[in-house]
Amino acid sequence: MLSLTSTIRLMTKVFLGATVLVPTAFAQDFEARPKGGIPGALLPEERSLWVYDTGSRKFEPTEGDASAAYEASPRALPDGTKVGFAEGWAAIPFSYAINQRLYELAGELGFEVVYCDNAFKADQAVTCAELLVQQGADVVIESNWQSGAAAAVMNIFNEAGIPVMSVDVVHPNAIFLGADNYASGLIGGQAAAEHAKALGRCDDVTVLVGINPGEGEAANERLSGFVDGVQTVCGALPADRIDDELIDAGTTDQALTVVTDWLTAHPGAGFVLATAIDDPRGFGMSNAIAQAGREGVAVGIGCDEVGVAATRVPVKDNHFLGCVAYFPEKYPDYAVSIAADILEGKAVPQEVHLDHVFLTEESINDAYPAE
Amino acid sequence: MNVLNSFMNSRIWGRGATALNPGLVLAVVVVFIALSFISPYFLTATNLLNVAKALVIVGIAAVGETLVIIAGGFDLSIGSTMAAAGMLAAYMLDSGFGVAAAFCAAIGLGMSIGATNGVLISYFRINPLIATLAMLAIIRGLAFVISNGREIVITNQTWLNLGTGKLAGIPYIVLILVLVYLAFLLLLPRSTFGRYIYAIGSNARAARLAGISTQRWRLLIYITCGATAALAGLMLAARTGNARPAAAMGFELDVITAVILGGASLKGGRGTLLGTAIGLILLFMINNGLTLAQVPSFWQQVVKGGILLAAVLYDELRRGRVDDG
Repeated sequence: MLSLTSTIRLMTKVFLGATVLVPTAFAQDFEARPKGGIPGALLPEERSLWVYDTGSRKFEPTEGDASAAYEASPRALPDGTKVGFAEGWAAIPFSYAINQRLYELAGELGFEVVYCDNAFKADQAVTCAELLVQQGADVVIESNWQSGAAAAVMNIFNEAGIPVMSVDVVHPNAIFLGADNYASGLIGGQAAAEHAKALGRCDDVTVLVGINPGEGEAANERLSGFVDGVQTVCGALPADRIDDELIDAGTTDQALTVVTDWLTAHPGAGFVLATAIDDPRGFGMSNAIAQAGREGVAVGIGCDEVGVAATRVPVKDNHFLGCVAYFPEKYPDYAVSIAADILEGKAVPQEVHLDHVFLTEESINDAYPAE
Repeated sequence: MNVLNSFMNSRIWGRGATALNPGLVLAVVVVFIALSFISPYFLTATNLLNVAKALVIVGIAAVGETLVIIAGGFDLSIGSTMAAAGMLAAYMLDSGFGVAAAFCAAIGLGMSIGATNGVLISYFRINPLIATLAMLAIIRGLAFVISNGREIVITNQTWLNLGTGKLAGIPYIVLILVLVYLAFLLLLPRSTFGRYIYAIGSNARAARLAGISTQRWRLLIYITCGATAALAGLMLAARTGNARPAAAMGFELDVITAVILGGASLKGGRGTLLGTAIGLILLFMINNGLTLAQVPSFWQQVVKGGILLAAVLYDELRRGRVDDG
C-alpha cells in the first residue's frame, strides 16, 4: 500500500512529467546509452562549430568538425579586453577554484575581470548581467546555475551584443563550457558499483540520487549516468531499488538531513550507493550513511575542496568513496581560450566538455598533492 | 558641527512615530557621493535604473512588511508566499487561463495566506514569529509537493514584458513599485487603516479599550502583507522568466533589513513607508556600488551588515537622547 506522500509523488511524476530515474531494462545485462539531443549534453556527433556574428549578435553555425576534443590554449586577449565573470556562488569551493584561477590568468595575461556574484539566485543573476553590461564587458563567463533564468540573463547580454560562454548550465546563444555530465555520472556509478562488487554486495545494492530539477536537464544527466553506471557493473536493477530525493539547496547540511530521513524510511535498503550533483551534497549523503550506521558509500561529483578533503579520508571512516574530478581550476584556461577564439573571430564548438577521472584515496594525491 | 546638529534635529524629519532617521538620509547622501567617485559606472542613468530594477521585488514586499511591523507584528512567510504566487500564476497560464485571471488568483492566494496568518495571530493568539514561520514551511513545502521541485518557464509575453519592458525609458516594474508606494503613502495618513496601524502597534490594549477592533484590523494588515508579497512574487517571476518553488528563499531577511533600516521598530508603533523606501535605496545602492567597485562579495556582506548596525545604532542613540531630554 502506498503512503500518502508516495501517492502524491507518484501522481506529480505522472501528471507533471517530473524527474523519473528508472532503469531502461530489467535484464541482467545492461548497456549504458546516453540520451542524445540534450543541450549541454550533446553527443560529439551532434555538436556544431559556432562563430559569433556581431551584426546579428548571435552565434551562427559554420562548417567544420566539432566532435573532436577542444584543446585549451589560454593566451593574451586584445588590449583593454574586459572579461565579465558572473560567479555561480562565491560561497562554494567549486566556484572558488574557478575564481582563483581566473584571477591568476588575468594577472598573467593582462586582461581585466569585471566581477559579480550570482549567489545561486535567479534574480541576482539578472542583476549581475545588467551590471556586467554596465561595466562594458567584452565577453562574459556566465555561471548562472538557475537554468530557468537563463533566457532572462541572455536577453540582457544579447541586447548589448556581448558573446557569452555559460558554465555547466545551458544558456541560449551561449557556448556551453562544462562537464560531460552523463560520462561523469557514469564513471562515478561504475566506481561505486565496483566497490560493492568487490565486497560481494552487488545483489543487495540500492541506488539513491539527490536531484535538483532547477539546475537543468544537463545536470540531471549526471544522475542518470550514475544510475546507468551502477547497472553496467551490477546488472539491471528493479525500479524499487532506484530512488531519488530533492536536494536543492546545494548544501551538505540539507543532503545530510534529507538522506538521514530517507534511510530511516528505508530500513530495508541494503548496500546504498548514493550521489548528488556536486561534492558538498555527496559528502552530506556519505555523512548520513555513516551517522546512521548503515552500509554503503556516496561519491562526489566535481572534486572541489570538499570532495578532495573527503576523498583523503579512508572510506571505512566516512563512507565517501571518492569523487569524479571536474578540475574546476582548469575551467578558466578553457574559458580564456574560448574568449580569445571568439574575439579573434574563430569558430568554437557550441559545447566544450572537459575530461573526467574518478579519484580515490589512493589516487587523490596524484591529482591534488597534499600540502 | 553645530550646523550638522541643527540639521539632524530639524523639524523636517518629523516627530514621534512617523519621524524619519536623518542619519539614514545622510548615509544615503554620503554613500551616493562616495560611490560616484569610486566607480565611473555608478552615476549614470542606466545604472541608477539598474539599482531601481534590483530593488523592486524586495521593495514591493517591504510595503506589507512595514505595515505589519509598525502594527507590532512580524511576517516571515513572505518569501514562500512570493514563490507560491508565482507558481500558481505560471501553472494557470500553462493551463490556458488568461493573465488577468492568473494574476488575480495569485494575489488572492497571497491574501489567503495573509488571512491565515492574521487569524492564527489575532484570534488564536499565536506568536507572529511562530505562526508565520510555520506558514513559511507549509507554503514552501506545498509548492514543492505540487511541482515536485520543478520550475515553470514563463512563455507568456505580457507577463515577461512586465519584467523587461519600458515606458518612456522607465522599466514597467519600477513604475509598478512607484505606484504601489504612492498609493500607500497617500492612503495611510488619510485613512482609519493608517491611524489604527500605529495605534495597535504602540499599545494594543489601549487601542482595544478605545474601541478599536484590534483583531479585525490585524487580520486586514496581514491580508495586505500577503497581497503585496504575492505581487512581489509575480514581479520576481517576470524579471527572471521563471517560477520556482524555491524562489525568493531568504528574501524575508532582505525585506526585514530594509524595513528596520528605514526606522521601523520591532516593538511596533514606529516606522514609515518613506523610511523603508530610503532604507531600500541605501541597501541596494550599496549592493550595486560595491559590485561596480569590484569589492569581493564576502566583504560586501561585511560592509552591508556594518552599515545596517551603524544606522540602527545611531537611531537608537539619537532617540535615547531625545527621550532622555
